[in-house]
Amino acid sequence: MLRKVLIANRSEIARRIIRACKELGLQTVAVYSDADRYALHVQEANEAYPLGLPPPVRSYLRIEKIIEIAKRSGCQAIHPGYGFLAENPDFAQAVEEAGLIFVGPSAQAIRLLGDKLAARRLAQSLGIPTLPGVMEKISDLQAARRAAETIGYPVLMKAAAGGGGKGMRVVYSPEELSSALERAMSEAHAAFGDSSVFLEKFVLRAKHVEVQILADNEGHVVHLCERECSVQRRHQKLIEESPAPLLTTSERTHLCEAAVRLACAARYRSAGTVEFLYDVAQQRFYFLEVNTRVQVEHPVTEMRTGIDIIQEQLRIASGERLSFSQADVRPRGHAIELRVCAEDPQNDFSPSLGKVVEVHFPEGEHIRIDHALQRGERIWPYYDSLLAKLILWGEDRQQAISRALEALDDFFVLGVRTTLGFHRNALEHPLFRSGEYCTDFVERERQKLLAAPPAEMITILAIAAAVRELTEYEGS
Amino acid sequence: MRFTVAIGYREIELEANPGNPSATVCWGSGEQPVRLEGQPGSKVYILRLGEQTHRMAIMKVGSEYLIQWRGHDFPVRVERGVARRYRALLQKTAPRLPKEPTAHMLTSHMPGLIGKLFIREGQRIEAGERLWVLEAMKMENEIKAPVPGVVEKIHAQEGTQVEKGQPVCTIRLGDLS
Repeated sequence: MLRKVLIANRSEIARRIIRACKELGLQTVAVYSDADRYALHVQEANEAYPLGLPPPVRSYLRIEKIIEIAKRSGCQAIHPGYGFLAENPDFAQAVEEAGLIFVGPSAQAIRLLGDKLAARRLAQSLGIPTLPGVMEKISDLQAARRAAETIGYPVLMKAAAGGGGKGMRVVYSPEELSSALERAMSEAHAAFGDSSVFLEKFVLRAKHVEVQILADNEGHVVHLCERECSVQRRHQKLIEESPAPLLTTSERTHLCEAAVRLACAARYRSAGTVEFLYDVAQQRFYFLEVNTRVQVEHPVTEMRTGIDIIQEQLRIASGERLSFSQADVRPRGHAIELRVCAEDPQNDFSPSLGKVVEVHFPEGEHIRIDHALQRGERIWPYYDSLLAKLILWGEDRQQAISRALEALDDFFVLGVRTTLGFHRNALEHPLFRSGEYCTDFVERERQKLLAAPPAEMITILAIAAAVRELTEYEGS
Repeated sequence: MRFTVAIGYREIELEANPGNPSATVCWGSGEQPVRLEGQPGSKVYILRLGEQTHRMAIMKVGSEYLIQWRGHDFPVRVERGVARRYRALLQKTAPRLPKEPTAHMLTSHMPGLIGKLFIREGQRIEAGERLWVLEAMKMENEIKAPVPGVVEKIHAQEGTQVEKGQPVCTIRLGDLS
């Protein structure tokens, strides 16, 4: 049985895991880099230990140091959160070899599903459709040319060893192939130490739909329905919602069942996400990959199902069986998550570094905010730009969107540029409203999504400024 | 009190006057009660303008304000009326003037066209009385008198183009008899 858990992460997800531990009566141990000495996750854990310098390789990626702290502080388990070491099979293995519990799937499962080609072969063997592509690693132009011709242009080139948009290229014609391959291989090598790529059909109008699954040690697998995450920028999700708008009941059932089948076959344990791509023109689903960790957007599912995914992960890690069956999962209403990032949408979403001078959160019964923000917080270049996740629930999609708009008007972060204004524009956009948006939404609708409020609104700002100045004048 | 507010490339002239319980603001053709409510120590305010309410965060950054509203950041520059510019001008050109200035030279605060001139030389005017209309960026701004006095000299006639800082008229203060 677990009594004490080390959280090998930072920011909002570290706080989220600490909260789940507390609710289960577990002690918590935080770790931190020098940049995070005063961070909220450090304050909220029962104990906290330094890892080293701010760059992740010197701190949050130090496998041996983290395991040593876990043992020294008397932890039985390590929760990796997302990012950093969460999908590193060597870490999972090292944790287990040290006699500790890795809160997540087995090292073998991470290894199997982390290999994109192996995961695809598994899906195919189960009769789950995958995108037309060539199921082999490619590392020279001739092979790439043959593969592209077999699949038919346009093709998507992906790094075989990893994700995150690295090594990814869309190739529209044979002329572009050579230079695309060169750049993709060099990116893949830099990011993963493996330059091989693979090719698949590039779908022009696509939606990204994923299924949340939970599995215990005894092979019981349930799904917690789907999420749609098609609002993306450079393959980074910006808005997620559940249920996926426009999906039919039979499509939904079909997807969720496929995800469960895949998890069973991979002998999966803990929380995971099976990602699919929906080809709008063909009205077909294709398996993409499995994320073997808890995801940033897990609250969307929690808001709809009332199931605490992190608590379930901890229960499963301590050897408990799933306490509910598929029939007990009864999703209600609609949930939306907006990722508020320290990025400047006006400047190509480049990171906005600096100090948070003021932060004000909206409050309300159906509002959930997962964050690690405090006044004076510094935004560092070393880490993810995610500042906060604003999650809303509504009886239906319409209500969730209205609540999101209302919440955005009462959400302030001063000192750094954020994606707050972008979110407001996105929620008001007709394509988002209709649910017809695809993964190219942000790129295609760029102008509208980045527009400032219309000119007549400027007068209101002028009035506010003048009255503020008047107050200052009277006070002086 | 008159203010000139610059947001991006837009400049808006308005008048805001203290009052209890609400201040009043006049701009363009409108006049409305206005209140800016905030908590001590917080930069988040509620602007109550007539029947409307708007939540916004206002932060002073140097001589400017940064207003965050509906998720967007707006750098806003506020200048107090025309008098302030005149004070600056006086300090530069006539450092040894007596305590009470005897004349106000009014300059244009932005480039534009003197669309209409409401005054003539020798005319007595009250503070707040309209002097001319400045047309710029398809907007008409009514310029009002910052001080009472007598129009001593008109430097720019109706229909002429003026540059920023160009004198438009001089108002003589003091004995108004």
